[in-house]
Amino acid sequence: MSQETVDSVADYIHPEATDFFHKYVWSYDHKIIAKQYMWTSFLFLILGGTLAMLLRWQIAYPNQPVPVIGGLLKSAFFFDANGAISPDGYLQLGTMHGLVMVFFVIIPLIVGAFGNYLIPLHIGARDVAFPVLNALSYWLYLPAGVLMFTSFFVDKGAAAAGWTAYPPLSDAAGASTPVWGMNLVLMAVFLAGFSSILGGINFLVTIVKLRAPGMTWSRLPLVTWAQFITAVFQVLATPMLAAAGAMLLFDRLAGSSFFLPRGLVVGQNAIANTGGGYPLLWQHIFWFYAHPAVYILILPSMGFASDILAAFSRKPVFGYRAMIISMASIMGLGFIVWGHHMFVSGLNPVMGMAFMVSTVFIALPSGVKVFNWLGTLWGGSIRLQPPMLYAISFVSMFIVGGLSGIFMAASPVDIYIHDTYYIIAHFHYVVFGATLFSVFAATTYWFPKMFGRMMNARLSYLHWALTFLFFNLAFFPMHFLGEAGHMRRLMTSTGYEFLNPLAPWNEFITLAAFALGASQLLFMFNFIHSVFFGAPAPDNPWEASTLEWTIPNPVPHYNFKHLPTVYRGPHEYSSPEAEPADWLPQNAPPGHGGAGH
Amino acid sequence: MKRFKTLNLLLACLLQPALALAADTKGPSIWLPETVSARGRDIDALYMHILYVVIAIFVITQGLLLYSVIAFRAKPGRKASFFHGSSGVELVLAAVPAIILLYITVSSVQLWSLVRLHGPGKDAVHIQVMGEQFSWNFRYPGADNVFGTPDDVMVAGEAAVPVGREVVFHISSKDVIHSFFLPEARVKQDTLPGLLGRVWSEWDVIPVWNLATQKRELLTLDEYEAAPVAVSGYKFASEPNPVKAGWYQASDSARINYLRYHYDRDPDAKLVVLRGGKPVDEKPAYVQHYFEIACAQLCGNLHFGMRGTLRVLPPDEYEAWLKAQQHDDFLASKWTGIWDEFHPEYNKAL
Repeated sequence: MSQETVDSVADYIHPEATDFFHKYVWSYDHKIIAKQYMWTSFLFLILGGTLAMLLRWQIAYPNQPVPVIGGLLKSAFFFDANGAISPDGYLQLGTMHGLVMVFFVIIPLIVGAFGNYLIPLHIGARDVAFPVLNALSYWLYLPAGVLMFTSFFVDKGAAAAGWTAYPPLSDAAGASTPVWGMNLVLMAVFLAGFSSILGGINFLVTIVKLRAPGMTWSRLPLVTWAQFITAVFQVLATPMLAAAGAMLLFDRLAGSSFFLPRGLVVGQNAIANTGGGYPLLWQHIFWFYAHPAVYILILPSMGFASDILAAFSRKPVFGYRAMIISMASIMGLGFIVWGHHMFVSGLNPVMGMAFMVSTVFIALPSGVKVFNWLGTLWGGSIRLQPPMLYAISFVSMFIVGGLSGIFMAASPVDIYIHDTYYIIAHFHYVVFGATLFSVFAATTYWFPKMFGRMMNARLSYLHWALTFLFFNLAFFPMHFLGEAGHMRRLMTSTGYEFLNPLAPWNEFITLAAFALGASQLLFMFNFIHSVFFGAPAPDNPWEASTLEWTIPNPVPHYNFKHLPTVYRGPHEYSSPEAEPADWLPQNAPPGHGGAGH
Repeated sequence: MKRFKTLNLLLACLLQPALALAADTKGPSIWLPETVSARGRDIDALYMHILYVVIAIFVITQGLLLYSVIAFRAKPGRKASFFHGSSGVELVLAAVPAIILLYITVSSVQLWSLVRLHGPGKDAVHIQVMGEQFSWNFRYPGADNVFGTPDDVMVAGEAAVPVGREVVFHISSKDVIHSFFLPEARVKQDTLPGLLGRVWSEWDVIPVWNLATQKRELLTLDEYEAAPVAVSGYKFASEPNPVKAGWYQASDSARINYLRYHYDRDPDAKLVVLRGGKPVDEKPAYVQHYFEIACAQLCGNLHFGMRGTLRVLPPDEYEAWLKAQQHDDFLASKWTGIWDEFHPEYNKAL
């Protein structure tokens, strides 16, 4: 292809839609699809968070009616006749909170929304490689999410076997209360998995094939590198989830017994379709997907943090190559550590030993990343604007979550803390503390480009301070509960003598969690208000050097009027070449001088 | 464990005061419950060892983060230094954690093989455990030491083991996955239907309730034999705790589940006090108590109530306890109808 044809706006892959339906609903534009993902997953975030608030109410005030909502919804959904959470309802809340947050909030938000928006802009492309497939991804995800919440409305409610859905609890008839709720949830996760696989393929092809001239692999922003590695994860691991879900659905609907061993008796009832199955099989397949999924939840966040830390430190990322190598090794090791979820599950202890070694060593690339982030800050000229505060908090919370992981990797210690609040503390430090902080960082950072307006900085500062405080107050004490042996997924712990003294801690955590939830209203208000009424944003408010900031606001449909030629890496801040400015856009030709000239 | 001693000592000097303070608050205990066995102490030692290392890394990294943010914040006239990294620094920063991680791995592997690969001794007591929604069933092999024979002793919810002897639990489930969790023994293992698992532990202490302080205590066999202990005649009771643990606690109605436990004289039951295994006519200092057995794996809507108790008894009292258990046809049918019928291989594991 000659330079002219590539560069011609008229030859753009799909024309700009003019009617409302094709512009905002069935859109092929990656920027619109990104925003669809963003709005939808923020909505699910609110719903998923509300489920968590209800859970925490029950744990702190066992069997007390939930204020207001409980009174209105007596005997409906997860409430009992007094408006308190019912035992089945409690498990539904916990199960759905986990599934919604993992599959319908975090992955769609960091991959669907930010991946979609940023990848083409970062590599200098006009859209993703397969725009129709991209639309299909979103339109699989949205109905899957709706299906997910529909399950609350069917007889006996939504899935209640934990987000891990271990059979036979999720499988054998009568073992747990929900019937169709479980099926619907499995179908929803199946669909969401498909959406994720399609997205992954799309991003891989886009990054490999559509990079602008000069955008070599070693000039890609780390956000895009992280998305690339995440996409590999999605393409290789998510089919396992689809397989697991399909097998479980077969067991439940078609009378197969993949996971049901012989001689299964629930209560007094022998289960009909048992024999030949193996419950541990599910755990292997599930965790073969779900452990890499943990890295799908964190790698893109590492990318956001890396680029944002560099931009606000006015310094190149420390050890760009090491960052990529460590992400790649996290991926490689990520595929051989799933057994650490199964140290006490009946796995052969010799296997446990192998998984322990691989698990301890996945801490190494994570450690390298932490040191590189610290190295990026070191000697910088740090601007503590809202995205930077969020990004620094990401690093801080990631350190806590990473360090608590070492206890679990040491399998003898894991025997004791497995399935306790220690685990809950650990993964909330990673998925809420680290990932959601990076989402706040990314949202405040790219908001000016996405919506052409600035978010209110004061509200962001306040939201950051409250979230940081209440997050730690809510989740750090969970380490103590775990140390005391407090099991997870207990509707109330007060029946155990050894856990009863922890009741005040549970109350404290719940109050902090409520405050944490309430603090998010600030962000919600700031976001929605700024979309419509925020101050108009300059084209490059953060003086950043990656390609998206070279595009005027609002971003035109075709992104780049002329496809850019890239001359340098993504973090050329404070380069002597840039004098007197302190940054060089990636497309500034050599000898061009400072940015803005 | 000896190999941890030097580093532990070094780090303990720095960190122990802070940890002691955290563990010694007036409020509820937030620390590891006191352990009961040699393996439990090993696990705790490894835990503490990792904790010291982790706290050191935490302080260094968070300290550097905070320092960088303060020391390098933008000021008029400051210009960031321009460098892309350093392979040397990178290598050191990878090598140091690698050595620490290798050290933790080696310690963990050694202990793991000790806990999970080296089997129990010949003299061990064997007990079968069958998880069920929502209770724990136990079967003792009886005098012939063979499971699945008429002299088996079966109990539900409440088990007993002798102090000072290895006890092997052969665990499985009849319905869904449960997890057999003995917090004080640091034992936890999922019970999988269709698969027989095996865990073992040894108790060197006997749990009793101190009537003066109304708190649980752990006595060695010698201490137990020297004290007057009530084995019947007392009942366990609880009531809402009158003392608030913190300002954040709500009114009494909401605190109803924060309990204070105590043993009271039960006027309907005959008082039996033993000292050194012999009945004595004196005021008891202790009442025989138990450890709790928990389910640690989500097993259905009443999972939170799947609690059992485990008495640890002197050898002669253990034998007496076994003899006193009555045969229950319904209980026996669970074992013969499910376990012996579908999984006869389970009974050969002994």
